[in-house]
Amino acid sequence: MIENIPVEGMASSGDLVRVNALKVCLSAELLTRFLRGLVENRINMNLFIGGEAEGGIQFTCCVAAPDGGRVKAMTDSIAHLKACVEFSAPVELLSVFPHRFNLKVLGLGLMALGRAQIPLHGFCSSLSALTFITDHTDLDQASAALEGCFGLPPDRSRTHG
Amino acid sequence: MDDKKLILVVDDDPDLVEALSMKLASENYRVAKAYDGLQAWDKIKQERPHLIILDVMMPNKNGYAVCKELKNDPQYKNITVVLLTAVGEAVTSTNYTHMDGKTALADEFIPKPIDLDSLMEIVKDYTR
Repeated sequence: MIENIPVEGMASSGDLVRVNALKVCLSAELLTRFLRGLVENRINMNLFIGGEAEGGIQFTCCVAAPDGGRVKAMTDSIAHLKACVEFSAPVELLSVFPHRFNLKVLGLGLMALGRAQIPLHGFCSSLSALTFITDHTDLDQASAALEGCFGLPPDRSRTHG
Repeated sequence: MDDKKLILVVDDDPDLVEALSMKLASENYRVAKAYDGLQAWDKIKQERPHLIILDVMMPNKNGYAVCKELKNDPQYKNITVVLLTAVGEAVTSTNYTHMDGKTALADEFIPKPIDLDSLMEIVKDYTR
């Protein structure tokens, strides 16, 4: 029998464009130019996961779908950056909160998504939220899978954040 | 009876709710949490907070609407409301205006991103 852990809420991000620089490592200078471009264009990031790998920096960044075109134009305009980044099919961030630093929350979430055969592009945690990155087209199934293993308060099903 | 003052923190960003809650708890306040306007009303009725830190842009019911309803309700109008505003120049995609905030009758306004020291000063002033 699957355990059910109470949480206080679940939120979805809305349709996002994912920008990846994973296959080619970036220099710190290129990453700075990318981030500065977002600031200058007043584009919010819903998510940024980055890390240093051998030879440079790799990252995944999500922005609202309507901003995707502007991000593409911005990356295309920066020499060397265009060749390093890829734009993926629309994704969605699905967050449950608070996780209270309980690893069981992560385990249950991964099991639920795995059993429902939902593609998972990544996950991360913040101070309060545990966030799963999945395809935008699978949002309803992913939500249903998570609702099955997390006890939400009455009338507290997914909210669009 | 616990004489710590109860603060209700309402924001749809769970990380902000958690961060403010931790700060308030460290300053010896009790904290209740809500993540949208409807949930805020549930908590107001159940727990009757001394002060509410209330975000504006939230799903289900926005902060202005919650504040306006609360300030027009004789049972709850004395509860202090600090509105967290990120309107106009800070957020290009918002439909909210500063005028909405003034008509919502909030006691205080704090712009986002939040200056924690200013917020804590306001909280202390209103809970003395």
